[in-house]
Amino acid sequence: MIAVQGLVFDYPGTRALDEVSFSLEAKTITALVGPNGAGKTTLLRCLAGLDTPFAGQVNVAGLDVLSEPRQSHRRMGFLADTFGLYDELSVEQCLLYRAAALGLPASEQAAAARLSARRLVLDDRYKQKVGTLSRGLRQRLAIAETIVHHPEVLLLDEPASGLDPEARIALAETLRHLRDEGMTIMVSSHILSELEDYSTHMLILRAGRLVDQRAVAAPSGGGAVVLRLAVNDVRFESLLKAESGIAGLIVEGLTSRFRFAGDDVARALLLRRLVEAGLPVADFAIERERLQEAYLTGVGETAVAP
Amino acid sequence: MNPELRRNLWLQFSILRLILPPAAIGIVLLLVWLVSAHSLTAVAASAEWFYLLIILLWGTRRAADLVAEEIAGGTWDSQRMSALGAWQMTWGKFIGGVSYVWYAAGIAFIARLWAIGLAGRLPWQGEAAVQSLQLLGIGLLGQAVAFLTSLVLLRKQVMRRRLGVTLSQFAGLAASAAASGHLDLGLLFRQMPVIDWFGWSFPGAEFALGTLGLFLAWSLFGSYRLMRIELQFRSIPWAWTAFALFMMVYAEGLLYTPLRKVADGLAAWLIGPFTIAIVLTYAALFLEPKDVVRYRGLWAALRAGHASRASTLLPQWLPVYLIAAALGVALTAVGGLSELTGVPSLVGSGLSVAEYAAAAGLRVLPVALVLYLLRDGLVVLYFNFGKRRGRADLAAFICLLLGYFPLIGILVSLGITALIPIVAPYPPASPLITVGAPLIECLILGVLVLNRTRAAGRFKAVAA
Repeated sequence: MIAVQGLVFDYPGTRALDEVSFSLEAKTITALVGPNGAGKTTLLRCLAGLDTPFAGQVNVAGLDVLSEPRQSHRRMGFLADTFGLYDELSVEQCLLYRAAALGLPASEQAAAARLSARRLVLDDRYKQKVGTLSRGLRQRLAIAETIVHHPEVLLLDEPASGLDPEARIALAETLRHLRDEGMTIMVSSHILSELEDYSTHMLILRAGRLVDQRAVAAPSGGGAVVLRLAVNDVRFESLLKAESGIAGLIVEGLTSRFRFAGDDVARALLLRRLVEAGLPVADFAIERERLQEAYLTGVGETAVAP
Repeated sequence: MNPELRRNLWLQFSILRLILPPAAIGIVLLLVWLVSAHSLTAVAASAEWFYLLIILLWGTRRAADLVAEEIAGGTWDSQRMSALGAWQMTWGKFIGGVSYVWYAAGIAFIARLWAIGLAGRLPWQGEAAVQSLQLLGIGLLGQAVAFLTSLVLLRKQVMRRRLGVTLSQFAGLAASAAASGHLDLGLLFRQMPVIDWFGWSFPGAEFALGTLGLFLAWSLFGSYRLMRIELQFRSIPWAWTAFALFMMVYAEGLLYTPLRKVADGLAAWLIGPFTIAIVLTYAALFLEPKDVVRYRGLWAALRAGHASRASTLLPQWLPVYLIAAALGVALTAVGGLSELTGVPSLVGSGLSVAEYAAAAGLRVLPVALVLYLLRDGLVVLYFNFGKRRGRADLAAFICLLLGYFPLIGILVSLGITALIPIVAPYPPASPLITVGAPLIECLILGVLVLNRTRAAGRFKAVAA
């Protein structure tokens, strides 16, 4: 859905993005992480077609963003870290304006505006002047404006900054919902706990370079499987190795960790076969890799790389 | 309806704001009518003042503020993320942004026409009609120039919003003043009953009106082209070159008859366009942003043979400079400024034109001017490619100003005129020095600019 190739962005005397290349699959939520000044905002602005890179290509939803910026904007949404709203307009007028400006046909604008308000739970504020909204409500309206045309790709730069815990939880829920509806989402933040709840992938930038790109959890909620036995069994490792779909097997005493390519039903069948084979299974659980661990692992691998 | 226009109309109009202007203007004009012993002429004059105050002071301010307020409000990026085309965004923002000003001014304007009509003149015929069109035109031109200037300053990233808005408004007011006869150009046209353009005669007032219309069209077209850049459209920067060509033809038309009194042959055709090309190259040099990264990108594209990419990165000043260079060479080839007769001495050296011609420096002066122009351009780039880019244009301007004026004065006062070619064109010097001095300076500055360009490509680690 998003393909970036050899992206270079320069400021005089400073290379903000250095040969960044990656691709993102559809219907994923990618956490774009890295320290301050790593190039996260620059990367998002290049993806959104707001800044022109020195070199490289950006392809979003099948369109070359650099040569077709306006068509690309019909298919993506971008929310900057510092955004503004028209305080004198009502929530409805803001959404109608964005729907029209993003190229929705006149006959669909009202319905799209109403739907977007409903998604962000702004129905009851529909006729209210924007200038009277609280910070959290303004943030929700900004997101509602960004998705009013139901983009295929959504780019969010620090969307939760300034939100209270309740609003952050609501934001995470909204993002998961949008992903389930088919959107591909990239969210930038340097606060990993914000991204923990909804990210399926992680992209680490450091000093303008792509340090790591990895899946942090399967979209279904899967991850590494941890299997612990009640007592030792010499067949433990061999039985697991005989199973198809198991990769990255590590056995340490009574505990094994492995990745398993299968859905919930396949995992249930695996557990059944192991139990029927006589293994004294005490625990069988999904261990979701925490974003912070993944980030530190990614950074650490780069740090030791020559 | 254009979404940008509709949004602006939402923001600009309310019931109260609709009622206020007719009420206020009506009350004041009624007062004027009563205290002037029912003089409709006084009412018309007052209405005209109302109109001018609203359209110029308020209108140019609004036009200058249209983009600046989006930036200050943090909404500009979301506007750039829209799917609107550049022309839609330009006219929607311009017309919508000043719509309320025109609503208020329109009431004053209609009151003026009404008073003129009651006074027994037909406002849509003859001189009254031309005056009315002129009034509408200067308002539109002032606002269009203010809007255009704000977009120029936006590209140059004048972040101090108020100053940028004030500068833009000042540019708009200057354009309106020029068109309304308060600056030389308009005054010239309106006071002259007949304008000679390429030997054809035009009534002065109508010619001024036509000129106003043309410059209004160019201002809006310029805004559209700058909006294209803001909205990230890739395009070949030909607009300034087109404007330069227009100005060459326009100015040559006005200079056609006067020049033929002092010059002969091809030189008479070349002098006007050559002068315009030089002036507009300087203008582009200072008006355009001079981002070293963009110049590096241009160089990289040229080296890679990516002609289409390189063409989109060309600075606006370069094609106009090349036209100036071609005209300069052509002018030298046909005899240079030695073809001029009957003009007073040029540099205040006391030499007659014949002596200039005899020194032969005048023949090569056009080529020398082209080289000095390049040198000055390199000075501007040198300052802009440095680490302190915030005030680079101002620093370059002051540097050039000091070179051209006080320094020449000092050299003349000290009697060491032989050193003048280091600073500025000096035809009494030998042709070799007249051309050689700026050429050597260009080479030195070229190396310095190249070094700064390379330095900008050597990167330090990104702050992490």
